[in-house]
Amino acid sequence: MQSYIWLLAALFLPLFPLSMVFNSVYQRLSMPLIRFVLIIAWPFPGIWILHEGNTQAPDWLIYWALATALLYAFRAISVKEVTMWSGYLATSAWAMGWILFIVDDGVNELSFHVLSFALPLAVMSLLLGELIHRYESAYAGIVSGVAVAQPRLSGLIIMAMMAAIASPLFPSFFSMLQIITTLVITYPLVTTGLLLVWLIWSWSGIRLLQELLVGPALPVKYRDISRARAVSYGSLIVLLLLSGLYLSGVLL
Amino acid sequence: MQELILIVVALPFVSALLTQLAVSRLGRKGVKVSIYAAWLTLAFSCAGIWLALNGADFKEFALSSAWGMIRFDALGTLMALVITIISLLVRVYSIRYMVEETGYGRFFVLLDLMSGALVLMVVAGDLITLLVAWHLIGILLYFLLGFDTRSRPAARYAFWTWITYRFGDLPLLLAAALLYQAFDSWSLSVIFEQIALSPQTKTVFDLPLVEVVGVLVAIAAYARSAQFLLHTWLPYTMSGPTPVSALMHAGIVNAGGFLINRFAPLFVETSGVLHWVFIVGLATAVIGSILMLTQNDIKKALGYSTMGQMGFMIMECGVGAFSLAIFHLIAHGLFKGTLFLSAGGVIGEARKNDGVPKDSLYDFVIEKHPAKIKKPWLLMAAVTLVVPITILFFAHWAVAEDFLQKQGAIVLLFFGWITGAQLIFSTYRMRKQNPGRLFMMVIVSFVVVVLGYTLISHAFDQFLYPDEAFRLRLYTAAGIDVFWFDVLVVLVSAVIVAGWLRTYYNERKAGSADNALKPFSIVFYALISREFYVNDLYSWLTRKLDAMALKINIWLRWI
Repeated sequence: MQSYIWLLAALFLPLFPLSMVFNSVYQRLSMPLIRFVLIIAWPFPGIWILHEGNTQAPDWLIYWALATALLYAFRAISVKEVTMWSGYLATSAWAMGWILFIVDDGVNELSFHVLSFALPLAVMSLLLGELIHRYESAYAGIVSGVAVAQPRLSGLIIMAMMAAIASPLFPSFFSMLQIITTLVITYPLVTTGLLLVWLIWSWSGIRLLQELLVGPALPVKYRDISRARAVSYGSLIVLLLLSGLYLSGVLL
Repeated sequence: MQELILIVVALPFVSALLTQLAVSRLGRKGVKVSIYAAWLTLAFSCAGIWLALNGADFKEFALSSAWGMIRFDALGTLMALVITIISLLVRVYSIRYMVEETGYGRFFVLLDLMSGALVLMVVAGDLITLLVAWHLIGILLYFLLGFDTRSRPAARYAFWTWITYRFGDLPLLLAAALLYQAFDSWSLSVIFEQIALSPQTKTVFDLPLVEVVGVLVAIAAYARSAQFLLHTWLPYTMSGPTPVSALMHAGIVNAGGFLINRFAPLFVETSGVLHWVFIVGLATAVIGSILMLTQNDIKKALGYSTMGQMGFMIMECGVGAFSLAIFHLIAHGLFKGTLFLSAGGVIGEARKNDGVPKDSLYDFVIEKHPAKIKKPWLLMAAVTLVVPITILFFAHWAVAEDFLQKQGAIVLLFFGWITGAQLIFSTYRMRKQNPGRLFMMVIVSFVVVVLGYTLISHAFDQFLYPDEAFRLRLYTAAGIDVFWFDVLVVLVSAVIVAGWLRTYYNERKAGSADNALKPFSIVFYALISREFYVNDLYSWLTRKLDAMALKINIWLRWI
């Protein structure tokens, strides 16, 4: 029975190969709002199962979680489609939640960690919706030069990307700092692995970003997002920043 | 009054916000806000350094319970002053230089944010603030270097910088986590006190904490200061705007030297880390200088020149001369900043008139035609070797009679001697109307430079590390066994003498077919023209990893 509970939890807090279910569903969705909801909601049944299960997870799950985080971070390197990349990053980051849960046994910290990555990716899904609405794709390379053509939208995508790859002062940065600090003495090699994952996120994220944004604008002209929309999305990013500052007080 | 330092940190961030608002309302004129704020920040920085020079006590200000601690100390105030001066110059320069660029306002906002992050880094009083500032600098530099969003090369090289900086961020993060676990505090003051009380503290795998953290901090410094194997980004980042190059070469790359100085209370307890710091710095200084001399692209040559200087700065830390490294980074920053900022003017002038007088100096420096040597060779060789060492010896003796007791001082003296000898050697081979006068001018300049360098570095010593016992302990931590030190001195001397003989031999055999060293020279030249294949290796590795990730994705059907 316990094994089934772990398997069910591993479906929602995705561990490979069960993570393929989430990625498959996420990639098939076309409406940005549904993606927004899914990326926030998906991991919570997993957290609830772990909370209700009330048993100590086996240690080997740490290595399984690390392997999943590494696998999806590594796979993200060759991804050009930003929605797909978001799904991979979510999988990689959420897998780390298992490590935090096993070592720290704190469901609150786990919820913070999961949300700190889910929220920027959710904002990103809305922004990608705007991009796809204009270019019919968010495929870096096919779409390029967005920074010249749509500077407001580009600025917001950059900020969401920064939040997603755990840059300071976003919540994900403090969450990563907390995981590293918690693990460093007891699991130094796992910590090194997690740092590697963080490095690969930065690699894939920025490379994707510059393929999408840099270069001369495409010959087809589309309007930038309106000032009002930019303010709305910008407010979400500012909220993320403020929650990062709050989280730094709670976690550290 | 020490609260002034809080204003120095806050002003650039406030300025960024106000500049953004002003630009959106007033257009390009709005950047004046940034300039006024930069002047104001400089005024407060000057007040800060004045307080520090007048013996104001060390003080810390906590902005929140968890982190956000700002410290007022000699190192922080000095570095804050340097940063505010350079960033003001860069901003004033950018007013006209960047005027035709789209995103003019954004550029000034980014400069403001960068100044703020740099100041925050140097006055950070806890590890989290330091980490936040350290990360932010990398991020902001990426956006400054890739400022022209139409230019793919600029973005590509900005990415190289980004990934190297990220690589350097992570060891610092690991070091911070280890220190926090050991002493249950993020505060630098608390951590340094605890280290002084229990330097033998162990960490993971039962290793000594100070050694492990020392290595991690050094790696972070290497990435930031373009040390060998982590240097490839530096010579290639010239596609960014010139003011950014100036700011980067004059300020940002110096962060490595600053970081090692900030952790001086930790390095003083280490036993082997500074030796590795010295070796890495030495290798970087030598390789950077070799690569600089062989570039035919002046911008890349400047990049490699900075690499060599950064190597020398790290090497100074490696011999225990921490305050000298700070002096070096300031001097180099001002010098290199001036070079970059005047580059535009020089290019503009050269388009009208190359202005290079075709005299003997031109022949020697540009055309590389040395004069036929008619003077007594042996006498000149003796002068070449004896004059610099005499000047250096007396200059050092004037500030500290016991300087020969410090291995670090001897190493630096040695480098000074080689440099001086090389300078006089070059002068000797120049074709000039009045060689005696030129020779005397070179000697006088050398005396002024050496005296200035020695006296100012001595003053820096007194200001940054007033505790003489601490300074001596730094030199001791960097010292090695006397026997091995002597062996190394003999070995390095032999290598240098061999180099001079090689040059002499090459000159004698120039153009002749029986030059036995020619095949080696060609192999060596091929090696340096490919920049030791380091870039090729990284590119190959990137392609392989990319292909591997692609293959895995295809196997797993992209889900």
